[in-house]
Amino acid sequence: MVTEELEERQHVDTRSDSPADRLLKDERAARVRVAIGQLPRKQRATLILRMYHEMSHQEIADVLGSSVGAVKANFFHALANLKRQLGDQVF
Amino acid sequence: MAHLTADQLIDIAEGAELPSSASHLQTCDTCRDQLAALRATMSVVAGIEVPEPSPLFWDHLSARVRDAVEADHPSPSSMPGGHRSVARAKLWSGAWAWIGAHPVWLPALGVLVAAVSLVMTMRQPSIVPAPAPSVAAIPESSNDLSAVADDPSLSLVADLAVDLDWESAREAGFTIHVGVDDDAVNQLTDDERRELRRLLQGELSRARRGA
Repeated sequence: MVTEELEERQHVDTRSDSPADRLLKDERAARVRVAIGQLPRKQRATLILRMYHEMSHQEIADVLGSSVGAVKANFFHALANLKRQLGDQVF
Repeated sequence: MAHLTADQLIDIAEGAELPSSASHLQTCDTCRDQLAALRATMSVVAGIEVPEPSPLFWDHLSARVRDAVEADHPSPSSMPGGHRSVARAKLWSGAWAWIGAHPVWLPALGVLVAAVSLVMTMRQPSIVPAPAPSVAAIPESSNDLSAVADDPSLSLVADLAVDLDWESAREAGFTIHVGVDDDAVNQLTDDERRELRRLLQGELSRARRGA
């Protein structure tokens, strides 16, 4: 399964990566960052707070002044937009 | 057949177990693909390193928090005129620090302070020119304000001048001209100059100690 393959790749010891692998990884990370930066503001905020600050849906709703349902919808659309923007580049 | 909602898909992608949705996922390719795409994207996003913000970020963050708290509970410095007081205090402390670092300018500053003080004193609109010694007796102690207040000649002048505004005084010939401060310093006696110098030096050294 694609997800499992990706998850396994995240846990590979990067110290054994070749310079070319590291370069590709850095490039991929840069593309993801650019794509996140192009998301609509609320989607971007929701994604960042959820993924990188590990805030709960309720906490994000409080911060953004919206409902838990709206937070989940924003998160869903943020991920869908990211997938569309990145296409096959990183998947 | 109703597909899973965004809420449900997110909950499942994040690990929640929804028995009611599990049976749907077993039969719906569309929802299963969507769920797989969500999980894959989350994995990619979680896999990239997020750089630590610069120390400036935290400075700005704490400043923003302080501003927000300030907005809720205004301190005296945020009251009308408060910022001016704070700014004035900062200006003075900065000035004294500069003076402390550049003592060579002290004599020049002393002369400047004397000149400005005299000009400020002479420009006070409410001050009426003192009568000549022949009209009003000068009190023995210039620091004794009660003696000045009790002086009948000065009271008479004060009563006559009570309705006099600055414009009228100027029209009547009471003018301040350029160089009046120099004239005032030149008119001081030697004792008065010594006393002025002593006072200024005392103030400057007190300010230096404070800085």
